[in-house]
Amino acid sequence: MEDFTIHIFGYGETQIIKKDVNFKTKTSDLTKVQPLLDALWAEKPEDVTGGDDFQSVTFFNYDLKQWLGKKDEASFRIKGEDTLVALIDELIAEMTALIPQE
Amino acid sequence: MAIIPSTQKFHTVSAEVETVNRGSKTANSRREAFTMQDIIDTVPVPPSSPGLFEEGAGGATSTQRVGSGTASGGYSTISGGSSNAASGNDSTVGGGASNTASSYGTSVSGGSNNTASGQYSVVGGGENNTASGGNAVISGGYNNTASGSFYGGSTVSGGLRNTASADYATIGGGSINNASQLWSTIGGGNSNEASASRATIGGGFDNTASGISSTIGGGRTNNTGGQDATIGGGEGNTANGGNSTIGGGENNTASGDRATVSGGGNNTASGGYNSTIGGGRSNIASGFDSFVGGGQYNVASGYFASTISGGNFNTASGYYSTIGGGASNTASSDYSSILGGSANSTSTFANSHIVGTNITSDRINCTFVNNLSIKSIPTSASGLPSGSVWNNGGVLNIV
Repeated sequence: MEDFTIHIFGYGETQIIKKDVNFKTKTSDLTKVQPLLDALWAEKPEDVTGGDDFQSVTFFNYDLKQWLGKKDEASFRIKGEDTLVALIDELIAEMTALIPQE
Repeated sequence: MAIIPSTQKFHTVSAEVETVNRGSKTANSRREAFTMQDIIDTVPVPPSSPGLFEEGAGGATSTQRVGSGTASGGYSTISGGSSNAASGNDSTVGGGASNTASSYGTSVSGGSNNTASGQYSVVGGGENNTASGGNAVISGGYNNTASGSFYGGSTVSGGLRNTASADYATIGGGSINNASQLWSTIGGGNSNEASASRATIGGGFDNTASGISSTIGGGRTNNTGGQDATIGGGEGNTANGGNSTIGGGENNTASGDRATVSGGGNNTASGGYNSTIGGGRSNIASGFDSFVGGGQYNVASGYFASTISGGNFNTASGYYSTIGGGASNTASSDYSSILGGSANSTSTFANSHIVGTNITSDRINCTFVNNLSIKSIPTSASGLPSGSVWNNGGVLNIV
């Protein structure tokens, strides 16, 4: 798998960035986002407080995940653990199928 | 000290011959005569020494001067010390103890338990050092190794338990450093690893330069995986992108080609190329040519050239979108901008621009403000281009 970045934005769009690809779509059109968000939220560090509202959630490849909450204490970063590979791959596949072919 | 020419001859006489009173009183008073025993008594020789200027085990071509050991190589020399071995042809051990010069043209000057086993390798001193690569050099220190191929040229200048294991690899000093690929270099520090060709680490602790021609100046636990990547210092930074750069800070990542993170913490510049983060914390520049100046929790992800100058929790995800600052602003449409304020969104409307707070764009090619106060408004339409506004006696007019 080539390097990728996935942003899930709180305002309602999800974006995938790969080499020569930068594609956004409405999160409501994707079925694989919410399971991924739920799984990452379940991995949050114990000191994270506040609700699960977020400004953006980002996956840098499989091993760096960044949850930017609506405030500092509701934000966290997990590095070096590729625990969500299957869910990430499912979202990538779903988004890739939506990318317009030139 | 006078050197007696090698062709000079000596006359000796038997013990009974008078050698003192053979001239005038004055001449006799200036004359002294010595025996061979006097010479032996004058020059101290350790009891265990095999002797002074003794022929080595290598035969007439080897020389063992003072001390114990074996000069067994052709034209090999041991000048002193104890338990040294010069077994390679043309090898030399200057002194010290238990040193070994075992290959052609090798040299150990001193110290103890040092080994020069690579052809033409040299150990200057120190202890337990091994120069096993061809032309390898260890100047001193303890437990250092300079290995490599037959042509080698690896160098460890000093320090403790350093290993330069590839041809032309160099370690200046420090401890437990490892330069393992061609032309890799570590200046010093502790537990650093230069594991790609031409990789360089200046110092610091636990740094890894694994990208070809990558460089880490110092700091700790930094990693340059990208080719020609550079990290100046800081801690826990990763420069994976080709030609990527991190100046310092902590836990920053520059994974895009030519990506730059100047400093701060937990920042990620991952854009396809040329993404830049000046500083701040937990900022992301993931689009091509994207830029975040500072602040925290900002994301510039637009396809090209999205920009966030600062502030907190801002998102610029539109093509060429821009946010000046403020908080919780979203420039999600192409060519849109938000000057500052908070909780603004350009939504899906391209070329929409917001100056204010809590505004959401609702049409394209439009600028949105909360309120507008125009200062020094013209009082005449004279000379104004179409679309300009002017104050017509307290009434706003448009040309």
